[in-house]
Amino acid sequence: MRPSLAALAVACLLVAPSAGAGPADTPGVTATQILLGGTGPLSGPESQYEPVLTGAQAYFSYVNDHGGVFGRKIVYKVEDDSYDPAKTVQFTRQLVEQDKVFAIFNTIGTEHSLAIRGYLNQMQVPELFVGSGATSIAAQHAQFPWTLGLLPSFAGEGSIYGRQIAATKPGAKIAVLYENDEYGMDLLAGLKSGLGSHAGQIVSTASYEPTDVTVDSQVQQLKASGADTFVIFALPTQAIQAFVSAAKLGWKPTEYVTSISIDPAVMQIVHVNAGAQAGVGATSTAFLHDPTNPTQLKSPGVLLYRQVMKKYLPHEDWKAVAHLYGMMAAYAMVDALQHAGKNPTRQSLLQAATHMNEVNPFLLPGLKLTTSPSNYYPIGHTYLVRYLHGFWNVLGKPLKTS
Amino acid sequence: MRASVRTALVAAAIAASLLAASSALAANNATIAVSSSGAATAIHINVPQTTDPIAVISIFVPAGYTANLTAAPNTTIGSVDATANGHDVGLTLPLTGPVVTDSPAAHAADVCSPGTHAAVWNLNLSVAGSTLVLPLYVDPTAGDATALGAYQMRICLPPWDIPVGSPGRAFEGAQLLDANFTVKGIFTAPTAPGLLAWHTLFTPYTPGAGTPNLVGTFEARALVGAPSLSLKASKKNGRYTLSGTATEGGVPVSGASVAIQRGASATKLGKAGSATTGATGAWSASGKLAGKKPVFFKATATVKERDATAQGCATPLPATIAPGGCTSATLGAWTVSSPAAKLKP
Repeated sequence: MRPSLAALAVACLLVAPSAGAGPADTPGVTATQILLGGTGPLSGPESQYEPVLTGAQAYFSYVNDHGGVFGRKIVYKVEDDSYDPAKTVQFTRQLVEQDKVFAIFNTIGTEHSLAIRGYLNQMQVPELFVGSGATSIAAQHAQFPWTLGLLPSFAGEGSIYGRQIAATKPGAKIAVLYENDEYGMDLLAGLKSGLGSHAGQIVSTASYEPTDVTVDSQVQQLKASGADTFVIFALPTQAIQAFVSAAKLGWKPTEYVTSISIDPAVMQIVHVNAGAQAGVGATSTAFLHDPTNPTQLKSPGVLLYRQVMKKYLPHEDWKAVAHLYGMMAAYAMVDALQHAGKNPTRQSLLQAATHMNEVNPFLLPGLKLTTSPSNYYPIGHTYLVRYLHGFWNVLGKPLKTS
Repeated sequence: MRASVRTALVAAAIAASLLAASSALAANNATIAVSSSGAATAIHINVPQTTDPIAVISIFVPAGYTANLTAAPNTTIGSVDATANGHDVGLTLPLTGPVVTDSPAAHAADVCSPGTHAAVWNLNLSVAGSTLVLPLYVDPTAGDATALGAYQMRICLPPWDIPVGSPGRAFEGAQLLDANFTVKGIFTAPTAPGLLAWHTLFTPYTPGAGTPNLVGTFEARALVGAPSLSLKASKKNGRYTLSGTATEGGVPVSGASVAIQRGASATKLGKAGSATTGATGAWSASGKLAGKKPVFFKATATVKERDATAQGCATPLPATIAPGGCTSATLGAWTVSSPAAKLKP
């Protein structure tokens, strides 16, 4: 039997009519509320990630309207760091020391998360479901046990592309565009690992800085290498520029693009700038539902997403998958809070967050969110997807990323 | 400094600024078209990429229209689709979102248009989760402005051509190129015949400066008239002849595409041919009549936006209002159907 939407969302909540007062020494928890903190780019050039935060807010509102967690309402206080790690540090300290939040949730950005990791671990404040799949976050959990990521491993994602290329086009001549930071380098390292003995077929690589205005010169250089396979490890803006630049140069390689950049708007903008055929046939990976994909419209997760969007963010762009990502993260947080018990402590929250085995409705079918004290990559599997007929179509079975 | 020298310098500065303004004006242009369908009113604005950045657009709704401005805040009253050139990223950006009413009190201190307005509508322009909210201020006109229309809609745009990091610069250096916004249940058009002009004033920025160039203000007009399509059916020797005239505000419309339908009842109709209106707005078509049952016909005329600058801008607004003159007049797109006609074989 298919669970109802409400059941899907709140089945795991123990909606007690009243919760006991929070432990006196647990910051951010009272008899009526749980205060979470977070930072992210609500303004500035990277404010495209704002829906990650507002989507989470909307889902918490939905949960609160269904009784909260053990009767406590979740309050999610978000500060605008403008995607500046220095501000992330400043506001996180403020959230911990002045606002006295229970935990930091849903921090956006690898560098930003790393910038506060030492402080939060020193203070033993949970830093949960960080928006990063960087190796340094998950792999150093023994040293920084209070910091838990959420995105699939970047290196694991890169490895999937490498294995796919080796299997389907063993003679490929590969060009790679990557962001010159841990995110891009993790993906590139994973690609090489996945290619295995074919790694020498990477004939050219070019990096960009997030502040670069265009990637045209990099794409020209990559095309000139004679590559017939183009791997784009770039954030959405640069990924769009890469697709457009390749099309305008008349370069028609087999294309791969990282999962960060498969919001439906990416290809829409590519097509406006480079024609309807640009990017068609590109391969990526996906772990989230796409609310615009006709084959997923009746999925319980998409129905719940649309319901929450309609009620709590009625004027926002529901097609932006970042909202859905934020809800997926919030669902995981609610799950962890619930398993932290009626009288949660930071220690019990960490214990819950590192022992998860969750069916999250916002993930594609067949994927689960699992953690253990030795597994800090909650999303360990993902699907290959291919852009055809206007959508990213799921291919085959889930593939391991970590 | 002696007064005469100072006067000369001021005069030179004015002359230089006028020269600069006229040089900028030479390239500045825009169009506006308005169309109605049922309770919906669609407004289409296009600004060429070569036009100086636009600071303010003031749209005057013609006298005779009434506007329902009572929708409660946070009510979705329409939608907007736009295209912008994102100069910072070198990409054309498609933007879309709802038009939502806001509390006028929340905008009383807006720098662009301070004071309490009769209504404020937020145009939510989203792309990939980033949303640019542009308030549109709506007021009944007063004083001299009543000569331009019954209501004024005013929107302010940030400059895109000032240095990156400047306060108030457009997000991503976005230059608005094209916008279609539709509101439903707001405007009611007058029934009187004739073409009505939606006077629209565009005030550009001084290029690279981010300050409005008032002497560069120019006008574009949307011309709107109620469309109609007549249909007359006759028969002779087993053939039917259909004819009629397309008009807009009582003025004949040439070049309209007329789709003809026929069928066994007024509500069950299928394609039966097409025609195009001539210079007088007249059209005709003919064909065979078969069977003994009555045949019903209906015609539907469609026109796209049309340039009407020559006649529409023949009487420009005074230079005190639009120093840059009237740069375009555009007739809106519409579709109109005739009443059904019945023929007995």
